[in-house]
Amino acid sequence: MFLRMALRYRWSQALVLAGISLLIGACAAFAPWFARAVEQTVTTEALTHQWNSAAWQLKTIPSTAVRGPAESTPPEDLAQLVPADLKPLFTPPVYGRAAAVIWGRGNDRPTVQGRVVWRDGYCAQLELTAGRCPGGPGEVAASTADAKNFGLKIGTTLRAQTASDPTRSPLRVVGIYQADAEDAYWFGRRPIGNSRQASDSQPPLGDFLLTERDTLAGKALGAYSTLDTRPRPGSARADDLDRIRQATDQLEIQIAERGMDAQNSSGLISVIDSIQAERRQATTIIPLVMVQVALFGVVVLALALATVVDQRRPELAVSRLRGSGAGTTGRTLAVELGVPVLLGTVVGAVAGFAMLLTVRVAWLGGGAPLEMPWTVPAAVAVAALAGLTVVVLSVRTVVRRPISSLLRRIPLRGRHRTIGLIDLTVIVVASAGLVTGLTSGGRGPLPILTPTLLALAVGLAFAHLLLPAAGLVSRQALRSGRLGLALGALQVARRPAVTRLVAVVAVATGLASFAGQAASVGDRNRDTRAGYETGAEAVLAIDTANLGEFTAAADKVDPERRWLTPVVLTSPPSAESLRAVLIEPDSYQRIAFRGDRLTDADGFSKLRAPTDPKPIELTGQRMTVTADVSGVSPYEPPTDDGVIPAPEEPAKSVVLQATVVNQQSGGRYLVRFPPIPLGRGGPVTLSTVIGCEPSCLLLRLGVSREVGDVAGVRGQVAISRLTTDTQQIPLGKAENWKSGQQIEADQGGITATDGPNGLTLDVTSLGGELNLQHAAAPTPVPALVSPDAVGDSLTVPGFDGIAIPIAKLGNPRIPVPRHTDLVAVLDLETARRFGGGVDRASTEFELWLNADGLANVGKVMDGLKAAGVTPTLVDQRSDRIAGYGRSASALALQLTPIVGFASWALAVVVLLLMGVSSWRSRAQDYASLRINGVPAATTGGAARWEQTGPVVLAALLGSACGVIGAHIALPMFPLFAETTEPSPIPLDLAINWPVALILWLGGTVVLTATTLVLGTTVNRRAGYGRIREELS
Amino acid sequence: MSGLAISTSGLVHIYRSQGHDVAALSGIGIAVRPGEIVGLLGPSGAGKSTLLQLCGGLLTPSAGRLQIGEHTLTTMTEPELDRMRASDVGIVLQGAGRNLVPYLSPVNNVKYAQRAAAGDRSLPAPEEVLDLVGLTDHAHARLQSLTPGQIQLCAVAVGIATFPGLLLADEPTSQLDHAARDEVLAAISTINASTGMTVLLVTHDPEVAALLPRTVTIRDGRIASEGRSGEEFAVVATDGSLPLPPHVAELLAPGTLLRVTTTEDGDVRLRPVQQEDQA
Repeated sequence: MFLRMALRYRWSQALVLAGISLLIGACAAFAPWFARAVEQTVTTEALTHQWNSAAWQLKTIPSTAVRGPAESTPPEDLAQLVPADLKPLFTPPVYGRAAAVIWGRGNDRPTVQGRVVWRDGYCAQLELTAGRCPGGPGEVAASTADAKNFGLKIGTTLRAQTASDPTRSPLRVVGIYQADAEDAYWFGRRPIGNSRQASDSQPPLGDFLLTERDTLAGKALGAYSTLDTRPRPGSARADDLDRIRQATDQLEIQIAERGMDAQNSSGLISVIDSIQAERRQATTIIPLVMVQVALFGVVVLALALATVVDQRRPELAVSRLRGSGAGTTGRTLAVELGVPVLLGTVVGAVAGFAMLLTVRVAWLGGGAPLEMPWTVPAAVAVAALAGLTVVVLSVRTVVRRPISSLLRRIPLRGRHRTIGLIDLTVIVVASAGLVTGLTSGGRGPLPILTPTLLALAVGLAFAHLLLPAAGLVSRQALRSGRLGLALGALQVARRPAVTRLVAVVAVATGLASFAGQAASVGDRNRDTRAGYETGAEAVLAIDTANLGEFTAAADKVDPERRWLTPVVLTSPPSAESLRAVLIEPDSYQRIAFRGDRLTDADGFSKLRAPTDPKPIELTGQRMTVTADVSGVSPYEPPTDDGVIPAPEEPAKSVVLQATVVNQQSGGRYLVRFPPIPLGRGGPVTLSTVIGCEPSCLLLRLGVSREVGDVAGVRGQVAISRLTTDTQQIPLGKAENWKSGQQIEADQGGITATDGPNGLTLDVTSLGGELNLQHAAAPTPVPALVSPDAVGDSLTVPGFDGIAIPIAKLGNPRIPVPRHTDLVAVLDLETARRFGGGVDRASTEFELWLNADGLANVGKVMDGLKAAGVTPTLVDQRSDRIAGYGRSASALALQLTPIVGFASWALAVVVLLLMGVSSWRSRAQDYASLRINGVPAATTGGAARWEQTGPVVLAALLGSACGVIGAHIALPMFPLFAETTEPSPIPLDLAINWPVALILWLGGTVVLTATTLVLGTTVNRRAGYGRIREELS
Repeated sequence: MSGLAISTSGLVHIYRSQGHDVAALSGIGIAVRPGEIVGLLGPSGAGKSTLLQLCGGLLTPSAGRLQIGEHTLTTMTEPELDRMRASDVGIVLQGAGRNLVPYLSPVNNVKYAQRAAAGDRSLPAPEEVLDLVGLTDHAHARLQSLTPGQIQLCAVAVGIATFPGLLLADEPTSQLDHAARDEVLAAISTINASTGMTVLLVTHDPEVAALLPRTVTIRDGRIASEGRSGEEFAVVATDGSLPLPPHVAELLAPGTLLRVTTTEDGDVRLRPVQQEDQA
């Protein structure tokens, strides 16, 4: 009956209660909705971006029957392996037939390895540059690359056979095609991009010869069937993943049960596992981030209700005076307060849905379906229940007091200050939660609640210390005549509501501070990881097989290395062995991500190729040397038992040799001079072909022997006047020539001493090769080696795959950007001096770009193409950052700014509520003081600072708790999706002090501005008429 | 409903203040007949309001007996006290605003006060109640628009909303000008006359006291004197003690010995004993 009037009279209070409940309801509804939407989004995006890994690629296994190939299962039969209930979730299967063949043109011997392929609907995927699509058996379409490489034309007849069956089948080219090999239709079975002509070491390869199904019917060419399908993003949802995983897992069993000879190559299980890991993060982090706001909202609601109910004490007293029992009175008030709480929660749920719609578009790209998971109504119901419970408890606590107590304007308090049971419980629970969170190994939900729990415990404890401290300050200020401070402090001391205020402000600023740290640290780590993984702002892969061509192109585009740095990666056949990352230290330091932190200045200095001595350059077709072997005589090394066996044949000659590196091709050659017979005294002039056009580097000088001449020799070989047909070659000092290997004395050896016009080689030869390497190419090569490499005798593959011994300078100070595992970082110039023909299979050429380079990437790529190399932009840091931004963890952390602002908003609401509910009695107090002669300026100061002082302290305390909480909790926070192997890239969890400072100042300004305005308003209303005011 | 009698005997109320027990009432014995109007007088802190609150069941006596009509308050439970306040005892607290729900009009305040008694018996129409205090014209006005006197009348109307047998009014005329004061007193007299309601009224105001047929003065938690029709009497307590009137007490230093004698015509004489007499 009186409910509407009551609500209308205190509409602002109802509005505040509804507003707080709205926030709680919004958090309650939004958290599960958003978590669900993120689950769906990560599912859809994983299936979209990893479509090839997620595909089922079924293939019948060609028979190994002795008497020719058996007819394989038709592809349509493979479709039975897709469970009927999953078919709507998968793309329509693409059936195919294929055969691995060796083909040749006309009557030529078949040499080109390739495939004859039919795929359902393939013609629609082709761009025919000539001819038509095959229309009958034996007709094929060849790629433009094959046409170019092997001279295929419309009408060309090919003959194809299999490796096991020499019978040749005729195929006629009726079309020349281009196709988009990246199109999802091909499921990674790339029709083009394989074609290449034969090289010295590799056979010719062909692209797909696309044909009609009939060409591969029956047993023809030993064809096998294929079926490609994949979960359809948008149709296959999070809830379907378990079924799909189970079906994928049991596919082998299904195949066996059906008696098929087939196999499935699919990475779907690992894709699903990674999705599930992200889903777990989403369903853990998001509710926990939001539940903090919701819980804080409940606490604020409780405080607001305590204030509201406290203000209703006179009305409760009136009701009790008129004979209503405590129960009836309580129920009436509970209904009055419960209505806005309930309405607010319901409207909050609607607001939560609106928020979902907004973030669905803004953050999730609209990819998540609109669903109503059961968790949403459950969470809203829990929120409503929590709100109503708080209402009932708040009312019950007050309404049960004796009427005489209800009649007092300010409730009686004990003489001795005590911590209330609820406050004590909160402090104990918060502290226990904190300890549990910190000792639970960093997993589970509690670490995320650390800042809130910490701020709550500290805020409440501080609040309870504040009251006696304020009393003390008041007395001291009064004694020293500072009336304004004394009054303000006294107001703090006599109003326990300030404890609520302090706790709320501490939690709010703590939450905001933590939110800022979580968001900024998360951002920083995503940026950092993306930087490490990319290596620089962007990476261009260069398609070349020539180091000289690669570096020349780089020099042409950016000779000053303002935009790019060249990086070459050489990989060994075994994944367990060290790879080499070859860099230009100077430009690498500037361009690579944190390249300057890879090592210190001394490390970089040691890494660089030596500048003294300079490499010895040769130009010309022939090399001539004057040698004198008169000092060399037969030598028989002693054996272990001291017996010297008689040589079968005496030593005949020694052979001078040199290793040169062609600077253009990078090829490393061994050139030998004619043998120098022993026993013939005096110098001889020898000449050999070196073919150093345009130029070579002289890498090694050495001595070998003729074939079969293995008898030992020892002595000095004097070499001088080393020339080419265009130049005199200075050999430099003997100390610049070093033996690369520690050879045992009884295995022979070679050293150099300075000689007249050249060098004198001290040789002990037992028939093998002996070399001295020029110090311009140091051996072993100094390298920074990643910590995961074990052993002392380390080598890395050179350009040609041949191992180069390395000397470990130490570990890099940071993970090596882009190539973090099992790598050694070497100087590119040093490696260049070693030379070696590039092994394309094991060598990758990259140009890393900085931000300026990326901004000019078009110009760079055009320049590189003009220089004769083909660049491809393969990686960008911004793409990786964006990718990480789509992870469940990042999406969840995007909520933290909302948490921060919501916390501030709640704190402001509490301040306003306290102001609204207490202004009258405070104004009456100040009016009384004014009547007694206290100046308005003094009461104004007291009114402003009685809340501002505690709020400033609480904001400082809360912000500190947020920072400490972040320091404790962030190491336990899953910033990235869990992986089976821990990432070598370290997390940078250092506190972001500028953000902490800004949030502290921001919170302090916002909250103190509110209290100052409220204080000023109270003082303005402290007129004399206020004292006689009765109706509240 | 006819008026209720009040009967107290040896009524004691002790409360705790700053760690000490303080006796607000020390063995009050008083009897009020049904339909009587009695004023409680006395200085601040004498125990008037405490006695009123004990009668209203707002406080629990520490000792003694307290009977309101058929209700023995010393043995009643809280729900029984609620029922008593709902039907039989109306209370008007000091400060008119404390008796009213601020967002309700006078008529709704009366209705609000009748809620708890609604099921027990037939109740007067709210308009009839307001008519008794002369607020019919303001029945639907906002409280904030009423004068202090009208607010006080409204508080009285709320106190008599169920036509209880006893009206307890604490300083109903304080902070009112003379006209408003007289208006309120007239209303209370009218109610008493028309309903037979017993009225126990606390006042500081001697002018108000002079208008009341019977007054009881309380001092230091005891009944100091009683006035009947303007004449003041000392009252012998149940334990035989006799508080002296202030003007007599002023003449006697604490510890003074008095010789009590009776005369043949029934007078009782008190004569201080001189020092030489003591010797």
